[in-house]
Amino acid sequence: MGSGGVFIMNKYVQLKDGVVFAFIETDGVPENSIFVEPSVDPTTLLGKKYQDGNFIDAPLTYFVDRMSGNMVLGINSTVFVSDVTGPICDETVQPFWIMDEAGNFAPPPVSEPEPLEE
Amino acid sequence: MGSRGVFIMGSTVFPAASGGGGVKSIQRGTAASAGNITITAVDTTKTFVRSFSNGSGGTARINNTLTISPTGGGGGGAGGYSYVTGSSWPSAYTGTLGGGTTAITAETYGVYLSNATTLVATGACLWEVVEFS
Repeated sequence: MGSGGVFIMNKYVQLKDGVVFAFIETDGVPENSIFVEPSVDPTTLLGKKYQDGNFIDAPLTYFVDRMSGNMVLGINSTVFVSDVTGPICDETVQPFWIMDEAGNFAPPPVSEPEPLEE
Repeated sequence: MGSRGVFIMGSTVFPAASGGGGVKSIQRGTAASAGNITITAVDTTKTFVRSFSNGSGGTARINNTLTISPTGGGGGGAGGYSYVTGSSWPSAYTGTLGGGTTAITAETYGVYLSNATTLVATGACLWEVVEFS
């Protein structure tokens, strides 16, 4: 606490997987935290990668979060590697693509519809 | 602090409680994902935590049998439908959906105090920790 009965609240950010995932305002000094200058809005740092003292854009990791058999039904992305809950893919993979045994993704085979008999 | 002054948090000033048993400290912040947040140590017997989910998650799914009526009445593509065949997916048509029921699971997030210096966030949320003297 500061003199005169006031708290001076400082701002800190904290990392998960090397990426800012939380910020905190406190009059103390929490562990595992990086101090943020008062002029900086810490919410703008959320999702940024901390590297060599700088905050840079973090790469997105794409992954399949829903499947039916070997067919992709849902795709998600995150900057936090530990939040990945399924096979990692790239941003080109689409729903209904097929994952093979090696973990590669490809569009489903397309066949012509059979003509209906009159 | 508590009884004598104010909290200064950025441009916000919080008047402190007067008399004994006032607010000793306030900490607040944001989590963008699930994980542990380290805070300045508090007395857990004199602290409460509140949080607000600012993210959501969940699933929507179809139960029972879903029927698909192809658009138009013709065949061989002339009737206005197309399909894609996959190894484990019979066919996908453009057309009218009927039957079946849907179920939605919605998730909201928050934090809880795990120990004197640790908040556990279950997902994206805003939070505030207030400790009393």
